[in-house]
Amino acid sequence: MIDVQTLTFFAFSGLLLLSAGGVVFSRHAVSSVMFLILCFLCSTVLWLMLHAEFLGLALLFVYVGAVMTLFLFVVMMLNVKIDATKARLLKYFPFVLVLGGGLVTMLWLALGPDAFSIKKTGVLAFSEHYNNTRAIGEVMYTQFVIPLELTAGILLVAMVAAIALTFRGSQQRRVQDTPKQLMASKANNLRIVSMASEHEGGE
Amino acid sequence: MFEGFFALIWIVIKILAIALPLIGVVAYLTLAERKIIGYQQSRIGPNRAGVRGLLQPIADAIKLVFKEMIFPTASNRYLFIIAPLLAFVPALVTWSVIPFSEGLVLADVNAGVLLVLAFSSLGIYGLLLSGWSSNSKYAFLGALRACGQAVSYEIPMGFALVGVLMAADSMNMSEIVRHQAGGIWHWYAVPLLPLFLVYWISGLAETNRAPFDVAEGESEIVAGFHVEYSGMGFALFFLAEYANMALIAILTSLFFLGGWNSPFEGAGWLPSTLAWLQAPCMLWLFIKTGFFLFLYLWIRATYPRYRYDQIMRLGWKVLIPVTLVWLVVEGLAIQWHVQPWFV
Repeated sequence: MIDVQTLTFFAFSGLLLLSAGGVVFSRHAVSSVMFLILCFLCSTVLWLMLHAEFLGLALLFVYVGAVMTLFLFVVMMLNVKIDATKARLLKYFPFVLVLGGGLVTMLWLALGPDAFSIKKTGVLAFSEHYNNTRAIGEVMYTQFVIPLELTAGILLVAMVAAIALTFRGSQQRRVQDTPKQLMASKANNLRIVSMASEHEGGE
Repeated sequence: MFEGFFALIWIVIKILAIALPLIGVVAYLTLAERKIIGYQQSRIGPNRAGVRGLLQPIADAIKLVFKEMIFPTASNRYLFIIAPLLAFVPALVTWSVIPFSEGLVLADVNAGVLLVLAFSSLGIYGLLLSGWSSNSKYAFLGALRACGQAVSYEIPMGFALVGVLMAADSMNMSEIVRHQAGGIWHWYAVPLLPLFLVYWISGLAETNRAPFDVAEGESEIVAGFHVEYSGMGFALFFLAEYANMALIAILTSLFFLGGWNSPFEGAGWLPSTLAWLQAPCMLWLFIKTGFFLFLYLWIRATYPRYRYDQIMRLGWKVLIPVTLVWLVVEGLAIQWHVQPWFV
């Protein structure tokens, strides 16, 4: 007898693997991005099943809602032809095989079932009052507050650096002077002058 | 075995009880829009189908269903069909966490606010993909505009909601409304007035409505992202847009105007024959939502369209700083237990 949880888990983890394959094998960059979004949606479902509501929905909100939108934005503008690059990629296939194999072995050693010491499988049970968001907040702002602030600092530095690298100064831009536009008023833009009619008695 | 089956049927019935009235509201919102804007511009509006035009939405629906769907040449067929669905489905899914009254909610999840934010940000894919897959300049420009706008305005919207969940100390929607009980002065629109205004303005921008409707600016890019759609594809975009309008209206009422709490709660001056007005009721929520929907149409009939660079300026340089400053003010108010809001 298969219960609903097991069925949901296998359905969504299967879909996750299929869409991950779709990211690599699809013939168009836009379809790849769409498959990646499907990947994120499936992993959100898996996290929700672990009662990690906050992480699952934050993944959806941050990655799918913002990061992938910008990604799709860029991919649409680029108009990449993946087919053309694929022929060239085949040349490096043996090298890729070795590299990929090494990566999978490393991941297995680091993140395999032994490393996580999984003692039981199945649905996790939590008490009625368990609040995932509160639990994460408590750990994040006490035990991990220094790594959190450091990460934020690094991201800020990266952002400033990216802007510094691409900003070419104001001389090349043609922008509206917003304060000047906002200061515009009837008093300093319109002058009413009284003058005599040029044609006496009409034309 | 059968208990699970009946639970499933019961959930489906609940979903229908939300979705069908919603579609009815959407249909008559389109009529209300044309009528209200008509009267505001000294016209009559639609008045041919049925008494005073009351059957107009039904006539429109029949026309759209029987209209042929046209696929532009060299369009990406699959994405062209998927795009309206991607716009429509998130617009409906979000309604699952909306509480209509005490306990009257389909999914009473703890992270309700987060779910609303996550799913309302998904709707943008429908717009982006429709613009790209149509293989049309106007549609593509409209999609890019809509995308940039939605990504920008999600940030002040999120920050405004951070203020709400700081005040309520919960992300559960029913809990947020419960925290606002106790009279009109306890509604979050009072202590969080700047956030309330920011949320409503961002809501207008997120739904691509006037005065932020550059994504479909008729005078510049014809109709924007959905210019190549006809028949049911167009109808789905239309449904999604109006369902999102209704969603923003009901969310604003829930977050800032006390949801189903009565505005007369705790009003001692009411005569005893009118004491029943003080009770919380679903009808109060619908009245508040209706007011915001009217505000949508009122604003559309009143203000001209914003220029695109001004939209970006408003979002990044005005709304986000306002929210950031007010979050600090609110944090201090919570720290000092300012009565009666932050106990």
